[in-house]
Amino acid sequence: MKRFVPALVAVLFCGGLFFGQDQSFLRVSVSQSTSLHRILIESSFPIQPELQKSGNVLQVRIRSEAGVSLRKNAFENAFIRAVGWKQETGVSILTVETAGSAFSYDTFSIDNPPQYFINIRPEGNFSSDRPAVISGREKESPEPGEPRRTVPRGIRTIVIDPGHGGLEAGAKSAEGTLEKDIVLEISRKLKKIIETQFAFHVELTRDKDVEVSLEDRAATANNLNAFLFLSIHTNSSFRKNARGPETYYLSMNAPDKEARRLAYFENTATELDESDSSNETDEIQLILWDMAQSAYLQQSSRLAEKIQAELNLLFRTRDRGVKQNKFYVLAGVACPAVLIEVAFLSFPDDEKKLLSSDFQDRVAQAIYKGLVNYIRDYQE
Amino acid sequence: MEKKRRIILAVLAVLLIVLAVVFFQQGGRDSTSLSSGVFKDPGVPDPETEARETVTFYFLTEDGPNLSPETREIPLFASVSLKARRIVNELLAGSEKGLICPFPEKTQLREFYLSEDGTAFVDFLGEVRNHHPFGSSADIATIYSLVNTLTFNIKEIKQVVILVDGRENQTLGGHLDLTKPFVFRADVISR
Ligand SMILES: [Zn+2]
Repeated sequence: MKRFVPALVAVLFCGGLFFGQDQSFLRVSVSQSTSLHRILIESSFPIQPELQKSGNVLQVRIRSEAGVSLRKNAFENAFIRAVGWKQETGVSILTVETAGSAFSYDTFSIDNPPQYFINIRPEGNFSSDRPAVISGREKESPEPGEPRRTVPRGIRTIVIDPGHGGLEAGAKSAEGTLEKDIVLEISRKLKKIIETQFAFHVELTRDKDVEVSLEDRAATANNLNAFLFLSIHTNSSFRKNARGPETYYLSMNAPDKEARRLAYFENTATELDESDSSNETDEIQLILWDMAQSAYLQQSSRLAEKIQAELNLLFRTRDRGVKQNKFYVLAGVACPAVLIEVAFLSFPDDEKKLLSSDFQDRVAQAIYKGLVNYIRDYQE
Repeated sequence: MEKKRRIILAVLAVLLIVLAVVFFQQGGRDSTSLSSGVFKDPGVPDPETEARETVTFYFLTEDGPNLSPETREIPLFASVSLKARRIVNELLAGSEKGLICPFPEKTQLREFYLSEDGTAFVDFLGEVRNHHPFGSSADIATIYSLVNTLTFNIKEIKQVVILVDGRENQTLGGHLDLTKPFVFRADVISR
């Protein structure tokens, strides 16, 4: 059975074959992290819920066909007392009952597979000290007679890779600031934002000051079947004036490079012996086949663009452009992957920013925004 | 056809060189730079003669992230390997025009080897790593300064492998993959 799951996911990705009555469903689950409670509505078809709050009840109306299967995952939650479905003509209504009327909410959705999130934040002194729960791990209570769920929850993993670590400290500023420390802080902040705002599980390749091999970093992403891989670094240059953010993804277009090399030599009127350049190209092609990243280059490029755009806004930098190069850690990752050089530790003004916890928050926010923009565009 | 023309050109060029050498041994020796691509004749004195050729080095500037060319004359070498060593050492010695050399100050060439398939193995002493700035930009500058300088000036060199202390390394500063050869990249050069 498990073997068919990837195939089913693929079918869903390719365009909603689950519109048929007996398979059409809406499923609600509830989860909680430190500061907010989250309701996730998964569906077999695109939905545009309308929300209405009155007192301690939030009503969610979703247009749906008759016969849609309404499902609910079991949950325990300190603030959300109950959720319940009811069906009216052409609409399914989810009622969320909370422990108090003082709360605010916002919503967010992902198109593929359809997931709709309602983040509920209690106001005033309602607090909870429950640990964060990943909603995908909750128990499910299928309704009687319903076939067992064959569609995975869609809670996927984003792997954040804080560069360097342990004896391998990475870049070091004149003042002694270490890349490995800054990137760990930013990565932790980013993880927190993603997990509170977004229905993704986030895994760090290291959560402390230890050395981790580049293979192990890529393996973390591959073992968890990660959705995205973000390697976080801070830069350093031989140039005193180098500053600002850069986002990289893997380069491997050797034939193109070779073409550019030829063009360059032609333009500069330098003689070039071409007798065996095609052989060489083939050889490089072959070497590149063992790289896992090749299938994801286009997505990686888009992800890099989105993140770089947000970082440029934050740093008010001219666009240095997204760049490509042969990064060892990216080559082994089998999902869209980018490496972010947040700013230059070799530039004192950048260093000052990188050391500020407040600025680190803003960096994490910017990367998060880029991520959201990428996911929104994901289908196109 | 192409080949014949090349041979004729080469013969003419060698004649010119010989003439030039004769002339300049007597008179002033200035700006005759000889095209690097033409010369192949092992008959010319080795390693250093009066004849010189123009070589393009790729350094950094404060103006932008890309590499900038700086030309310089070096003695004419008949041996590709000797020429390559000379070029690497000149590169490590730094710019004569105030450009930035993207190598740690005490970086030294340990060994150089050119394989038959055109792969140059450039082996540095450990200093290249020990005092490197370790940022991606610094990694990229070091690697492409070397790779572009060698592949641009020596057509026999198709690709470059960088070794440190005689050993293959995964990366220089934790970023770019050093386990595979690098080829010339035009897009890291400023226009
Ligand atoms: Zn780094």
